[in-house]
Amino acid sequence: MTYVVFLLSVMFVMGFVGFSSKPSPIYGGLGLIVSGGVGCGIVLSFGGSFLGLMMFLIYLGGMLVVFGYTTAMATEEYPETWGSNVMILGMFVLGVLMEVGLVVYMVMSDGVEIVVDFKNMGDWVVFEGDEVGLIREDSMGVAALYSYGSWLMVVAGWSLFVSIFIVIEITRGA
Amino acid sequence: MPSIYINIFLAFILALLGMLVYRSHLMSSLLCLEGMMLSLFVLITLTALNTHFTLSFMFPIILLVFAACEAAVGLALLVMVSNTYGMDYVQNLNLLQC
Amino acid sequence: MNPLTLIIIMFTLFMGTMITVFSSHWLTMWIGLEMNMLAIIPILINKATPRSTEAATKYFLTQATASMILMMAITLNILDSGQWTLINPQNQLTPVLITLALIIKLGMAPFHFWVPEVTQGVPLKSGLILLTWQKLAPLSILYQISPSINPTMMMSVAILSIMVGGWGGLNQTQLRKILAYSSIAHMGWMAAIITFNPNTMVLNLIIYILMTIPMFMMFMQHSSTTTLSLSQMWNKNPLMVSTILITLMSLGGLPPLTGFIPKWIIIQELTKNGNIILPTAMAMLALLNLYFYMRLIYSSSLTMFPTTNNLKMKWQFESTKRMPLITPLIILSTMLLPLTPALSVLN
Repeated sequence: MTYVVFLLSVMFVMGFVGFSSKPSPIYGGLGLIVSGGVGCGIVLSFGGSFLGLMMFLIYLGGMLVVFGYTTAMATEEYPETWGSNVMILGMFVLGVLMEVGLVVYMVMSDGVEIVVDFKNMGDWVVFEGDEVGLIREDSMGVAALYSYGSWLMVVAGWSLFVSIFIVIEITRGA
Repeated sequence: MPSIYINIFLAFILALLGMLVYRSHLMSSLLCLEGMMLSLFVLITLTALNTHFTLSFMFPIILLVFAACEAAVGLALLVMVSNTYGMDYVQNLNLLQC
Repeated sequence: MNPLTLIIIMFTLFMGTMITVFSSHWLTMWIGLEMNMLAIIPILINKATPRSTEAATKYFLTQATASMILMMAITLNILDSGQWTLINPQNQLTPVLITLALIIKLGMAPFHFWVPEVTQGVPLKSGLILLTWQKLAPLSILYQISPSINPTMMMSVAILSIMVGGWGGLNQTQLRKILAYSSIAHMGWMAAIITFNPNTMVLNLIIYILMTIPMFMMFMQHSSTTTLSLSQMWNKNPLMVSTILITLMSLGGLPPLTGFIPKWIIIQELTKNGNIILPTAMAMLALLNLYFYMRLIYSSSLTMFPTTNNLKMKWQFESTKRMPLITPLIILSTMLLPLTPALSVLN
């Protein structure tokens, strides 16, 4: 399990190397989606199934919209891949070398054993009301937005509301 | 620091470096911003999961909300830039240099 | 802009700064900065021209990157200490990263390149908001974490900002760029004092804002954005020409005027703390600023440029812009020096 999470995080970094070397946005979006999926896997294996789901649905859903928009916008006849430009290739190789160096260093210095191992059992908290039972920790934490974090939610909702106005105001261009 | 954290931190640094590169499309820069947000989301979630601090699970969601706002505004600016210049290369943004 | 939209966006801009200033939790602090940054974008664009779009894009990219770095610093602080409260971080890495992010947000020296460009691209009113109100939120965070800021780093940033603010403005003819460089230099003065006496930093900020608002208002009154149009102000409003002279002198920090207070107190405070070379260098570099203010003064009020006869008829047309606040603000920005003894409460 430990090694699976570690491999997932390596793949996460690889996805980041993919879009950070700035190829055409089509391939960059691909790298980001790979990273999003793998990141969801990392969160899941640490036991946060609700947050992983949120991330997978919302983040990747939002990302897919961006991705679709990008493919619609990219009118290039020959999009740049990672191999088509010395600059991109160099940055890609540099990023991969950084990650390989880090992995080698961590394996050599037995860093992997520090990885927290949850064995995919999830986190449960005890609640006490009329009866005692078990609930999932992360979904309860998010649900606290409605009670303890109500003002936080008001602010976040207001920001989303305002960002519609902002976007319209920017693109209207009066 | 556990090695997962180090890897995610490295991912953040990579996205930051990608953001700072002054070439290619504006879209790629926005993707790098999204990537930074993604690594922050994973890092905060893992921290909350490891410390078992139940109330802090709402922070990643708030982070996600503001990532959405930021992505929306960034895309609106991208639309304006590509309407104005025809392309969205960041090198074209040079009207105001001194 | 639609009045309703304008009200909503202005409210968000205001509330963003307020949330940052009044919060004691890192997340809400970050949320405030983010709301602030999102709300200023349509104000910067105002009327979509290629210049304003470019300015807004550059502002958005730098500020978004800075808030990501700030959030990373916050997350590292939580990994280290396990709490979200804004008390002074104990480890070394976090304050450095937070200071770095805030320096980018404020546009101090190694990361100053966006300030003149963005200010040049936006209308005067938006430029005024950009150079005054937008400084409040990041500076309030710096004020609150000031005991744990690395003094060496902050001092280097300060002296570099003052240098850049002085040298960058030398070759400019655009008023907005000149004011942007003057903002960078003033930020440098604030950065120099923040590790020694944060209250003096607040004083400097207040006085800087007090001096910048009337400058922008006078430029707005005549819609002048270049030195050339400033030099034709005498046939429109001769009194304002001499007022610009006084206000620019105050902005440069000459003794009988308001702008001298922060420079005096900062140099005194630094000298008390045993720094001799640094305040000397800062005072010398402030002369560079004074030089280009003096050039504005020279072209606006000390000489009369050759003009065509048509231009001299401009006095017939009354200005339609009413700015009732401009007089009290000019008085505040020039005549506050006698209040200095009252400022001994800062220590």
